[in-house]
Amino acid sequence: MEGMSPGHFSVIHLMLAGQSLNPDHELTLFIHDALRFDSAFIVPISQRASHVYLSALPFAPEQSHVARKFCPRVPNTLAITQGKPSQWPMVVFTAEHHKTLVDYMVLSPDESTFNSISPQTVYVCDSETGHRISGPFELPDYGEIYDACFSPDGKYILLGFDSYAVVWDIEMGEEQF
Amino acid sequence: MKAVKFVLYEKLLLWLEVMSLTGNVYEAYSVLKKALSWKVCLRVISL
Repeated sequence: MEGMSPGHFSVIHLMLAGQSLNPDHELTLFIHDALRFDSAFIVPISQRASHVYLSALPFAPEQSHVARKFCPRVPNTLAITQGKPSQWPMVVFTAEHHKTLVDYMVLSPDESTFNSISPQTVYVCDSETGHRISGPFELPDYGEIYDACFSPDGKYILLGFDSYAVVWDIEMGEEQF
Repeated sequence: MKAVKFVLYEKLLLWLEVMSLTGNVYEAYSVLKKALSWKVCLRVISL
């Protein structure tokens, strides 16, 4: 079943048209909550669809709009009796891509992505979810990085080494010059 | 708007299931983000 093309199983497609959702405050709050739910449990859900009910819904905070809406409808799943948070934690995500010390974190000019840079390795991540967009990219061994910043258009990062400055193409994942 | 509410309030978890099965679950976040955008609504299509 999982091997079939996505089109066969896209039972529900959400497509854009032209009307505002903003006036509906309750719906806006629900979507915000759904975003937190999705972000928090995307890893188990991506591994197996049943984790929606086994590893996500039972662990959603009690005051979560998604939990309040759907928990009563799924009574025969896990029930967390102790230690369940009432609200979503203040920490939105934890990105654990690097295996070594992270030297620099650089936020892109439009704030949509960030680069985490450890010695010789760069990851490009979504700044709202922490999910890896691309990388790891291997950096040349020029020694310790002393500074890093984005170009104004967000396409490159400038890395300052001991006696070198390297312009790094984020999309290509390679040194420009 | 009625259809949007129906999908989100009634079928959100089913939709996430389907997105997981089709390997598109990482797109769910961006779809939900778009739902919050100005002058945007959602049209539900059953295939």
